[in-house]
Amino acid sequence: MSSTSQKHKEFVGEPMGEKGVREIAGIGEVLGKRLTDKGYDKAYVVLGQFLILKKNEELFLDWMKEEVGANKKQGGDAYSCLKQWCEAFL
Amino acid sequence: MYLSDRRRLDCGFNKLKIDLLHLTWDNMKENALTDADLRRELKMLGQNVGPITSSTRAIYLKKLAKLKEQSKERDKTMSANNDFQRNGNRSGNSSSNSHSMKQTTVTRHTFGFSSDESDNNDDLMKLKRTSSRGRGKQVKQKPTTGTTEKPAHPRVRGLSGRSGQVKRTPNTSPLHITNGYSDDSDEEKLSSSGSWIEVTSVDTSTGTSPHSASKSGTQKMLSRRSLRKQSTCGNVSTAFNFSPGAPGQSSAFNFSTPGSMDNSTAADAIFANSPQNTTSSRNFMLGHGEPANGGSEILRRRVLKRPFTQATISDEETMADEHILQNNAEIKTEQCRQPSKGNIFVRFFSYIRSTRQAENFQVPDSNNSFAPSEQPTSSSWSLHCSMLLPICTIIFFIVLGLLYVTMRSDDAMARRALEYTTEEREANKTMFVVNSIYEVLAKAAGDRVCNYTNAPSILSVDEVKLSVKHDEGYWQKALKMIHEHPEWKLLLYKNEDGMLVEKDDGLYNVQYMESEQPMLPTLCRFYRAVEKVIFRVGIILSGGLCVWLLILCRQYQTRKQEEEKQMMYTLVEKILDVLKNHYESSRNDDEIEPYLPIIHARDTIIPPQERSKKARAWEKAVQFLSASESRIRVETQRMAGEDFRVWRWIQVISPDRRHQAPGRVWQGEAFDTSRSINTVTVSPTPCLKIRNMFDPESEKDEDWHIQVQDSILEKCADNNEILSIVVEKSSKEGVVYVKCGSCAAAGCAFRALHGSWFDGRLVTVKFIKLQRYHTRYPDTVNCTTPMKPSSKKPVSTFSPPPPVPAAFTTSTPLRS
Repeated sequence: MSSTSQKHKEFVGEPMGEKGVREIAGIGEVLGKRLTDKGYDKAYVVLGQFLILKKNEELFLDWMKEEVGANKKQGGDAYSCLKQWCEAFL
Repeated sequence: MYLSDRRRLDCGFNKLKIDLLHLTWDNMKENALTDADLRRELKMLGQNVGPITSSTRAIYLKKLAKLKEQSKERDKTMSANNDFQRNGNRSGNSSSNSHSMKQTTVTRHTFGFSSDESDNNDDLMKLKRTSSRGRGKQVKQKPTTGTTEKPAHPRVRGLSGRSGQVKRTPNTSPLHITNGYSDDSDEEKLSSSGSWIEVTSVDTSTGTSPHSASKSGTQKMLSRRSLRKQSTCGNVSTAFNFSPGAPGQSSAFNFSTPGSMDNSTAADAIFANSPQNTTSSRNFMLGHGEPANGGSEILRRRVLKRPFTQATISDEETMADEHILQNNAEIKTEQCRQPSKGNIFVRFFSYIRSTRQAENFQVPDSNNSFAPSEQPTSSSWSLHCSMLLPICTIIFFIVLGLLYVTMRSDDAMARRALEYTTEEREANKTMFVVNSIYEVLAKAAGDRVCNYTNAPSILSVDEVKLSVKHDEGYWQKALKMIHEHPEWKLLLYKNEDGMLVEKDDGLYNVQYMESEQPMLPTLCRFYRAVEKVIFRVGIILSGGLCVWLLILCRQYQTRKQEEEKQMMYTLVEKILDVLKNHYESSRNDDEIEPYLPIIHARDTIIPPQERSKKARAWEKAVQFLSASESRIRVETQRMAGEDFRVWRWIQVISPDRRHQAPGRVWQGEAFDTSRSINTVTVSPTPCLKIRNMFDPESEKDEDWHIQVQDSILEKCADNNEILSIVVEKSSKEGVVYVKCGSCAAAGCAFRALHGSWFDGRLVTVKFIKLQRYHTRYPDTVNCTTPMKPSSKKPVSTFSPPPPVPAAFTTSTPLRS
């Protein structure tokens, strides 16, 4: 169907609740650790940042790169994951 | 500090450090910017700015810097463009350069042309001086109609000889217009064949019109050039037919040795011979040769049109000529590339002409009447005309020939008869009498035929005698002669009934005479001929028209059939849809019969205005359905007291079609709840709140909540501790509260229900506190008996998992 990963589908399928930040598509072990160290320990915190950036892709990507050094693919995956989640549950 | 920093840089964290430095530097620079300022700046640059918080600030600063750079660049490029323009930007320069280049090339063409011309001219002049007397004589010849043929011939021959050769020696001159062009410049390279030289010579002659010999040189060059140009097109073939013309001159033009000398000679001769080309000099048309004269002119012009079209004959500068020649050459080449249909016609035509010997070859001169006005832009039109005019002339001449033939046939016999009679000079007087008799009778017959009078062509002897001056003796002799020469076609009748006088009968019995050959006046003959020809042509045309009409009719018919077929198929599809819907609605609604009258279907599908129009298509559709649709059965049913032919849809539609409201079934799991991180390992409470089970507004059945309950119970079939289920009918979220016997049971239920798809909706489950449950539903506090489904029949589950039309799969709850 689409080119979304299983992680993406799982995340978007239900309310994130207290999921950790590694549940977000595109964020693996390394990035997850970095985010946690920066204080973004839960997915909803990253969601908060995503929303503060007004769901803007470019800004979010920049932010991801700035904060944790995520490359374009990782940032893009996270962005689309969060975006879809918002569409479904927000 | 700085040095230590540098050392740290050297350690290898260059990039990181630089980034940090940038950031810090930026920060230091931008520290003065408050949030509001930053926002303002970004807004000025058209950015939709969100809240500037500690986390977003850096991002927005970066964005601001980037935008500023971009705007600076844009300004720079704007100024740069201006500079370019002022200096004549590259593109403009290049274009102008190319333009100038073109100009130079053009001029070079012309210059080169003229220079070559002059060179060639010089050569020619020299050669001319050394020419023999014979040539000189030829040169001195005044243009006469007879001699005009000569230029044609050598030219023709030359062209014919040249027909095979299109390849010219490589062009070294700057004139790259056509091969011919280049060839012009390279006279020395004309060593290919004598014929080619002939061609050139002819060309020159034709080109130059009424120029005096002094100008012949340049003219020759021009015409030669033009000819050469043309010749490349293979128009050579057009002229070959002129060979039978002037044998005398042809020998003179039998050049075997290439050389400008010969060229010049031929050119001179031809040139001198070419009669007044004044009229034509200005207006040579490429393939348009509009004749000012009659058809013969056209013919002539047509014949030599091709070879001479290039002839730019103008008294003016060679430049203009060259231009024109250039154009002509281009056009010519275009024409040449064409299958040169016109050439074939011209050739054919010229061949006919030569055989007929009708015209003297005024062609060269008249052919020069091609206007140089035609520019390459109108070449296509000229080509068109060039094809059209030969065809027209040919048709004209065919008609003329037919007329001639028919006319001839009319009086051929008569002439013959008369001639025959004149040959016999025995009895002049008798013959005279016979002749006069013949004349009278023939005239009478002719009157009858031509003027459509009903006067009988049979004249009585007395009448004839009256009209004919004769002596009695001669009369009898004449009669006798007439009798003996039945080929004169003078009939002698015994009486009015038309009985011929037999051989043995005496000539006294002759009462009436008739001439079988009416002598028709010329005009009458002409008219008759015209009528005949027109009649035949008309028949042919009408025949062709009929055939064409037939073809059109057939096409129309096939098209109509196709359309009808399409209409029928659309109708069939609509019928199927209607029937399916009807069937489904009949399934859902018991009051609707599962069959639909055909008439009703028709009226449903076709609006009233179109019913009569589409009646045929409808019938076809009905037949098609009964023949090739297996899911529909035609029956006769009695409806509302009337018998109808009905259609019954007999295909059982499987129920798991999406748009058919799966009807409250469990459709699988969205994710694995047993191992999901979200699942609580220990259920906190025995009470669950299930969301998104239904939509209260779309529930139309009665007891749908029972169905929901049963569904939940089925889903948790292994769980026998569900004590109470309460369906909140009025909740928008489709909430169902479930109380279980124990927390473990609740956990089981949770895992079973959470994330499942039910009736197309994703179900979510939450634990709620027992107290809350009891406060909501106090009457369930004391429920102890586990609930059971209302019926044994499973309503919401299927043993084989149905296909889930969702983004989530049911069978692979993998964790990433």
